Amino acid sequence: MTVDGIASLVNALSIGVVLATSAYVGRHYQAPVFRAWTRGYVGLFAMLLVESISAMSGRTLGLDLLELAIYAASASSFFDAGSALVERASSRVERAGFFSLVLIAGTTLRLSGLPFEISIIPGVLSVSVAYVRLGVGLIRQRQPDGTGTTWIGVPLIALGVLPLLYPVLVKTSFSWLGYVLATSLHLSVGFGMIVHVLERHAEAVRAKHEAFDQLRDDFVASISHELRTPVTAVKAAGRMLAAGLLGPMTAEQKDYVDIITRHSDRLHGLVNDLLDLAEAQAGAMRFVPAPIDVARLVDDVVGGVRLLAAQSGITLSSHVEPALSVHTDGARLAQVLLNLLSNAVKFTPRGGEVVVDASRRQRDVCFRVRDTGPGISAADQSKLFSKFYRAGPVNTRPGSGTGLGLVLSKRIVEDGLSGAIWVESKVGEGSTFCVSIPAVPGDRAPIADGGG
Amino acid sequence: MRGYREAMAGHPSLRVLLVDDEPGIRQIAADCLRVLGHMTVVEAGSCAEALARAASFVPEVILLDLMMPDQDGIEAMKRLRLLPSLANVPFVFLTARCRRRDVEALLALGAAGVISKPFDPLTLATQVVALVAGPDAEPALR
Repeated sequence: MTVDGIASLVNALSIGVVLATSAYVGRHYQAPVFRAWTRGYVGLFAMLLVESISAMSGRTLGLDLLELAIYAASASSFFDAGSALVERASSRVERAGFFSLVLIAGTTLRLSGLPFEISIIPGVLSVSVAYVRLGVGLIRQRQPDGTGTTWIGVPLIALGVLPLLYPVLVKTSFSWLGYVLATSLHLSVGFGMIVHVLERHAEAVRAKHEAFDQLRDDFVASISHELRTPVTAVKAAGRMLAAGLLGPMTAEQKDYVDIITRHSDRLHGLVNDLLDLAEAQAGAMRFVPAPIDVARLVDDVVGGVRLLAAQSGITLSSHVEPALSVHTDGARLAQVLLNLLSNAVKFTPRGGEVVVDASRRQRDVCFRVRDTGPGISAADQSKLFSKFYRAGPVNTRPGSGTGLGLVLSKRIVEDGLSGAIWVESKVGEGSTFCVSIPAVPGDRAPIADGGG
Repeated sequence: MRGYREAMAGHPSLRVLLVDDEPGIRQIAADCLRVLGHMTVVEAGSCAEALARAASFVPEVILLDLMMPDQDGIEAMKRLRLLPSLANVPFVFLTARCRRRDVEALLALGAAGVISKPFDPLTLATQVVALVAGPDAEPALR
């Protein structure tokens, strides 16, 4: 019994184990890639058996042609499996890792002109998909003088570390070139496997996050809906009382009904903002762009806060560049501007001023809402667009705002209108909120003319 | 009260089946439709009750909540439509679920219109009348 014979037998056995594992994983995952992989190992297994029998019996069985055929079959199976892996690979790095595997798997290196001939068969198993870092690297060296063939099987557990043991493992006919090739093979495969495992892990984490986000969005949607029902009843009842539908009221009763009305309106606004925000965060908010007459839009929005401004003793004015139009979702833009404008009115003390202007700046249309309020410190400015944050407590009227308006506005402007929103302010000098959106949406195909 | 009645005098009186599982909202909506819209209103608190009432009281319009415990409004609409007497009766949804795509989905299913909750009780009757009059008279979305 020769060393070669033992090496071949060990190889055959290790390949047998790998084959069984591969077949099991293939069945378990029902993945075509594993079926191809398994076919490849069947070929290797058969070939190694032939090899070890011939080595141990000390005579050639004249099976070279058979061996070659089996080898070709298993190499092509490996190639199939590799191609399938490359197709499945989701990232560029992973693809590169598998591609190098395929290259080596499909190629027998035959270096002639050297004092030896090397064939490398990557008996590499990527059962990494099943989180088993197991593999076998094979080096086959055939001496040119025909003294023998050596197969070395190495479990590919430590990836980069194990190849260092080659010189120890390979007692006979060791070659540095074989070592280098095997090492690079192991590294590339190991790399591919690691990347693959990491990808799988990242995918699992991502899926978990998505499931959580979905749960949260469903929860918010359902809560918002549940809240709307009582809000509907309270608002409607308050409105009917206020309209005198249920008989005349004393001044004091009217005051109380007014409180009901104002606060149910606020609650309604909060519920709407919550629902919108959940929708925007889920990326489910829909935007329907159409040509918008800016002057009309600004008029509508200003009209929405006129009463509040008058009650708070604030001068409200607007300046819109003549014949200004923008192609965007008018309702969402109005929602953002109304939010900025009502914030400005709420945070500006009596006797102050709020000015809205709109103008064309190169390719963008800019909206600015300027107030003479207390201003916002630089520290507060950076936090202004994050959830539930309210600059203050300077001069804020109690019970105003939900803390969601600016977050929502930012989502709408950035995600839906492809624009930008920011604030310019100094403490004591008022604040200016700016919204800038492209006059013509550049990244979208022209939408059929809605005719305004 | 008299003033509102006069304002609504131009509207034809409608026979309305109002289906909502919330008694408070049903009361407010029914009162507004009766008093401000001179409508004949029959109330139902569930889909099953609506089916039972619709058999004897043949409504000219059905006002339907979208989310009810026993059955959702869409299913209720499908089942009510199976009654031969209701085959051509317009359905108007009164719903808190009124995002754009929800509204579009309801209109695609053949709803005559959608009124969002919270609704304005003072204009509810006029809205219903406008929606029943058809899409030419008023946009379906409030």
